[in-house]
Amino acid sequence: MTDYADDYSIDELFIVALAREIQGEERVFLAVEVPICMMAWLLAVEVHAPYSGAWTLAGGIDPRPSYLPLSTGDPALIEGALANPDLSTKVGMARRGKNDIMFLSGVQIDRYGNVNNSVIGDFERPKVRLPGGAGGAEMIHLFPKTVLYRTKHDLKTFVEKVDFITYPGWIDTVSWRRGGPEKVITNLGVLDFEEKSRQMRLVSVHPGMTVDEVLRNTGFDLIVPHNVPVTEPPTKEEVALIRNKIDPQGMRKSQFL
Amino acid sequence: MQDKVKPLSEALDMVESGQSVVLGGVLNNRLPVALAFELIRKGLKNLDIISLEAPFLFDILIGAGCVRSLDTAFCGFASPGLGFAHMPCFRRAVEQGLIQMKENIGDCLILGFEIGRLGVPFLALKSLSGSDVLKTRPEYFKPIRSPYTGEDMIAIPAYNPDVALIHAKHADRFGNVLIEEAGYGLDEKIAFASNRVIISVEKILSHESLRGKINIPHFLVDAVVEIPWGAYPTANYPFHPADYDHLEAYLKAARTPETFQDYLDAYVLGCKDHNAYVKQARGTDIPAQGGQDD
Repeated sequence: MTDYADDYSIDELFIVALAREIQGEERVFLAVEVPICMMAWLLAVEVHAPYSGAWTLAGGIDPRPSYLPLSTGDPALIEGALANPDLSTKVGMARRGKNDIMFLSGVQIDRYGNVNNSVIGDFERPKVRLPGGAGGAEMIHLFPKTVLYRTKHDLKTFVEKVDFITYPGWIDTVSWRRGGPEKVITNLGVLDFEEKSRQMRLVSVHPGMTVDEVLRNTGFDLIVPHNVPVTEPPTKEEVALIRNKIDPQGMRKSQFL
Repeated sequence: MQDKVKPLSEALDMVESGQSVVLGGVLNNRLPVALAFELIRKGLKNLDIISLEAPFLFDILIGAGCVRSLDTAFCGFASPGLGFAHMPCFRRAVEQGLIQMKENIGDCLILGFEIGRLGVPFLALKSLSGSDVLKTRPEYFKPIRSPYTGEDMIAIPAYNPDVALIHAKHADRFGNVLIEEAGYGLDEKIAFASNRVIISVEKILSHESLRGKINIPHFLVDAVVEIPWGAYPTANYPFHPADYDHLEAYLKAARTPETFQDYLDAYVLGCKDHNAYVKQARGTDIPAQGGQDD
């Protein structure tokens, strides 16, 4: 029997849900400035995917950092690396199909998994200028599986129409792609994209959350199956690893304010 | 080989208002902070700034009024204290239409320098469709058809900017530079692609001790300045980590134009050199440096 944790918080459940998307020897790209995704990869390596590999912008291939840096741009991720090809070569590996999973987030997400991380309002004179998409607009073509995540599932994020498509989801203006968004993980539940229509579908709700709560916080019609299970909770081992080994300083909490 | 060692102010004399300037480093890692601050002290204007992701420098250069356009893939900041933060001067300037934002896709910036250094004018990718970023820069992203397979592709041009600013580990006095042993690897390509190259280093070492370890040979380099901690408050591994406390203090100061100006006066215009800046920000001097002639 699995020994599930009784005492855990949403940030821990969230990291565990991300980690469970990584299986076997899958190779992960940890994109710009996302400590919780780095934590998820480190957790997957500890618990169920010891041979999974990862790379970052400024780090090496499969680093073994002695401490958890605040940013995936941190050169501490050179430490213990298997190899250190330059950035262009690392992106080239993704282009050549040598990678499996990437995590991406954004400020607006629509039912087809289009993501906006560029502007709210008009591009030339935006109401809000957002940071920009880093390399995601090409990367989302290159990975067999992209996991979208958002720590705030609300009507501002899950919108009928994004103001700007930074990363293209399942739309027909994409002329070639190896894969695209397959899962969406939020603070309320787990979602995916229905095989035929490629529209967003509810997979599970996190313990303590309800289907109604997800629907009330989603600005478009979600596909909801008859039975929506509860997301598998974290185990005692996973929670202990996050708290004691991976993120003892509790950096993960700042992403759930 | 000529002696390329110059004082900070003299090294930056070759940069003029209206030029295109590429900044090395990435995120909070090895940004050319000391060199870029000197652009502000010199009062340069209308610069076309290019860099993959250099949020701290983008923001302060924009706030100081040095920037005409920004070609980048990302300008944001994640920290334990502030969560995910927007860069305040960048936001104000773009939202008020004061600078031109040339949003790019990181992979294309990387490839632009990759081919810029190879002397190849453009290349094409089939993996760039569907993003609205393409529509905002029709002069940069050009649809073409593969002459080999007939596939729809997007062409992107090479970068050959006027000036590159890079903070590195070591150099000799002739401008033979060791940027880093491993890791990021884009700055070397930036140097080979740019028309002028200005380098700051932690320490100048003898030619003999660097021979065989050089990333950038002297004939590509126009000036070398010895500036310990020249990337501070961003990290330069293994010399020092990023100072997230100071970066957060900057972000708080930049929230209004008035408090931004106070920061600029106290930390940039009011500091005669980078050592004074580091001391002002940390309250203590820069510790003694490693890296010996051997």
